[in-house]
Amino acid sequence: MNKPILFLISTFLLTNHAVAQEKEIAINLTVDHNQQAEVIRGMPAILHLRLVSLLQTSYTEVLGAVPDTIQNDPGLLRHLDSVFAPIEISGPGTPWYSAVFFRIESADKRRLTLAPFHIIRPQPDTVSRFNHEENLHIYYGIDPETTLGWKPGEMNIRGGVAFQKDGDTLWSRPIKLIITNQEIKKPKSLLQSQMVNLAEYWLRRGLCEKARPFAETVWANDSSSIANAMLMADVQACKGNNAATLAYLIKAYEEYMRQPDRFYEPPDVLLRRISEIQEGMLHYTE
Amino acid sequence: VATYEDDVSFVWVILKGGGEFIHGNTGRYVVYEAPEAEGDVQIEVRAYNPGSMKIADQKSEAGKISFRVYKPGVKLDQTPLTWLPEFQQKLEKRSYLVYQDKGVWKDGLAHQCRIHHFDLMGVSNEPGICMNWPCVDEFLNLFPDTCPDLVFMKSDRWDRFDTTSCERCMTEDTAWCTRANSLRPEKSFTIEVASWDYGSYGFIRSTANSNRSTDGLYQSVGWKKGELKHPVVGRIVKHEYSDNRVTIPHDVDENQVADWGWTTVAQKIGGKTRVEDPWEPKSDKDNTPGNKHPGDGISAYEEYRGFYAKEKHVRLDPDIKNILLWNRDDTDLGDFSNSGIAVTQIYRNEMDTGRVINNNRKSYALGFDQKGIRLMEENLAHLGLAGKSDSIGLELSHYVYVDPRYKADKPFWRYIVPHELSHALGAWHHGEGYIHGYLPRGNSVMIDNRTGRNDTAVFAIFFIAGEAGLSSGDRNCWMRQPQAVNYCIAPGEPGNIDCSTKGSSVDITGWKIISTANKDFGRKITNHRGGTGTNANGQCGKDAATNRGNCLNQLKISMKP
Repeated sequence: MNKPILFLISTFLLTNHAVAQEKEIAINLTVDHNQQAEVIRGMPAILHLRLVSLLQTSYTEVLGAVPDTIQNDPGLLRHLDSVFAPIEISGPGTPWYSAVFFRIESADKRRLTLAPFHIIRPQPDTVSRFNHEENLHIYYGIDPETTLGWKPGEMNIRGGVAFQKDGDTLWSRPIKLIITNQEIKKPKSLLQSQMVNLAEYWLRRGLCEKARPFAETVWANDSSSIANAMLMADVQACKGNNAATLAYLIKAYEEYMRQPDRFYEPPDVLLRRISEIQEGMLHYTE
Repeated sequence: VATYEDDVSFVWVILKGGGEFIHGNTGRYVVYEAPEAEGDVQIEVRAYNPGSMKIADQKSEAGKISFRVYKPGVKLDQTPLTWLPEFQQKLEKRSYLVYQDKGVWKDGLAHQCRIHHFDLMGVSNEPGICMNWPCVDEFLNLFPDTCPDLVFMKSDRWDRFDTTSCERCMTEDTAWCTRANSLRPEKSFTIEVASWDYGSYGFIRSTANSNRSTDGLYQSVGWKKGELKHPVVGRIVKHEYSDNRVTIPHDVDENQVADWGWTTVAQKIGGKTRVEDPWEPKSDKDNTPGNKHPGDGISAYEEYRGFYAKEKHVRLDPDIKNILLWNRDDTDLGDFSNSGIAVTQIYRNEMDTGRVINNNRKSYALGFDQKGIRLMEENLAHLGLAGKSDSIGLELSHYVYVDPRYKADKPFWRYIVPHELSHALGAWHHGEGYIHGYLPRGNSVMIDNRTGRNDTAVFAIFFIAGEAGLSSGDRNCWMRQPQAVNYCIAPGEPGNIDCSTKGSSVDITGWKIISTANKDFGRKITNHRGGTGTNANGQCGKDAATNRGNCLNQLKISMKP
């Protein structure tokens, strides 16, 4: 039975690993979960870049499939070591995403000045090791003020990662931003959903005060919405105001309890947040 | 040979072995047709002067010719054992002339040459090229064809016939032929068969008679059972044919799956990658992980025929339950691999808009749509959730969502993704309710042996584990809902409430409760109801509700009705 396995291993190594290690990584870049999106000038855009391992298996799994007789074969082990070695993306002590950069081109292939891309929440891991089950993710935000300054048209953006080891850069497929004629200069012209987007964007940027007016407007328009109450709670949490955060969370919970047909999944995040904040607000005596 | 003076005649006589002279037995030249039976032939020829001669004729000895007649035939090579059908792949098949000598077929003699005729028979015409590609896409002009999967392509070395007119994706050719012949008489001729499907199967036969008969002058020499072997001990050769047909691929048990078996991408359980030719191609008995719902809705032949997964073809393991997943945002699947279920990630257009992944089924089809899962990251703040599946079970779980805002919380993230995916595969929580304990302003509750008084809110709210509720059962299981519930009723205290189906709202003034780790996220899916940790020994949430727990047993991938 050894022969088939040997055949398999050799096929596996030849087909999957005869190329440079960096080729086992794909860089995927999306905007609003897609390869292209319309951007209204004055609204933010969020790019999601991730490094995805194309290896379908792990060192242990491959070694487990090798016959016992060759498990200690130095040549095989060297080969596997090279295939599954940790990938150095950035230099020692620097987060992996310091090696990420972008190339922006307009549809007529003119290269444009780099827009200020801000790393937004959730914060990326700083470690550069990843494997076939765990990818690396990073989110970049483009501020509304930036998009407001863009001209209508199209632009392509590629994400690139320069690898520390040999200086090679791996590029993503381009995403296309379609900059519309529409522009938003005054909050009054915003739709409810746009205000929610703006509030959530500024919260992900960590700028609570910029988020607050949008959240407050949304809340004023509809204070019976769980989503709006949660948004207000997020703004208050961002500002570190526990009492106000709890108040809004409880409002959201009360709305949830009023719902006649509840979803099978309870609002676990809401419940957890209420408990965590409330516990610190009780007056304890031994 | 004697010398004759002038007018000479010759008479030919077959002394032994049969046969006949086609245009008579006299003359300087005759045409001899050998008998069909193998054997030795002796022919005699005599010369004489016919009519009246001027001088006396000299009588000479008759000349004799002896030779041996052999039965001719044509054989066809077996398909190489390791050859597996693929899309747009070629297979060389050699037909060669032979002769029979004392019952043994030997390679043809130097002078043997014939036109070789080839027939593809019983050829599959599976829709598309594998189980999920292409799906119908009018915009991209994609459609699954039903043309023959094995054909002879156009060539300047052979003619082809028996044309089926049929459109395929990714080629402008519309003529597909299953008959061909060599342009010139040859002793040996190699033709190419083109495969257009990852599950192609059929027979090829060669003949060397102009009417393509298998038992004319040139016998189409069949393979004997003893000459055919299956690599798996105990597997028998299904048929011994009277002609030289062989299977494509090598498939002596004729189950339409290559005898060699196939390789899969390494899958979690044991890193096993080799798959043997299955006994029963229509079986769907995948039992890893084992539970009361065997199978994954894909028959063994279909797992062999395979799927397009991110534009690469993969064959799957018929012993391991497989689920196809469109993972829009490359979300990490956390601990899901601990379930033992193998996930094959695909692009959106590698399932149809109804999530069906086996639209191109035909041979050994199980008779129902099998669906995949869509996983995507969305803000779920409006629901107060970190994740949700549209429903419980694969039929109605159109989307599974997780909220990326919680991605940075690693222990939570590696729990919430498999939790929601398991809902999509049919698993329920351990129970559904919890105790909604409210504490009016100014009132107190004993928490962890400390008195906590509500001095601020009109009501403080405590989410307390109820019997057989959300947080009951095995704390190691990811179907237990840990984070909604933060407290247990202290041991020995009255007031526990059955929360198996719904919660209850209670004034908890004066209660004794203890806090419990609400970040104790299960890292596997377990198969019992019993409470563990704080739920053990009839404490806190106790065992999972009746008909709950046993979560692994609830996972049902096959959509068999």
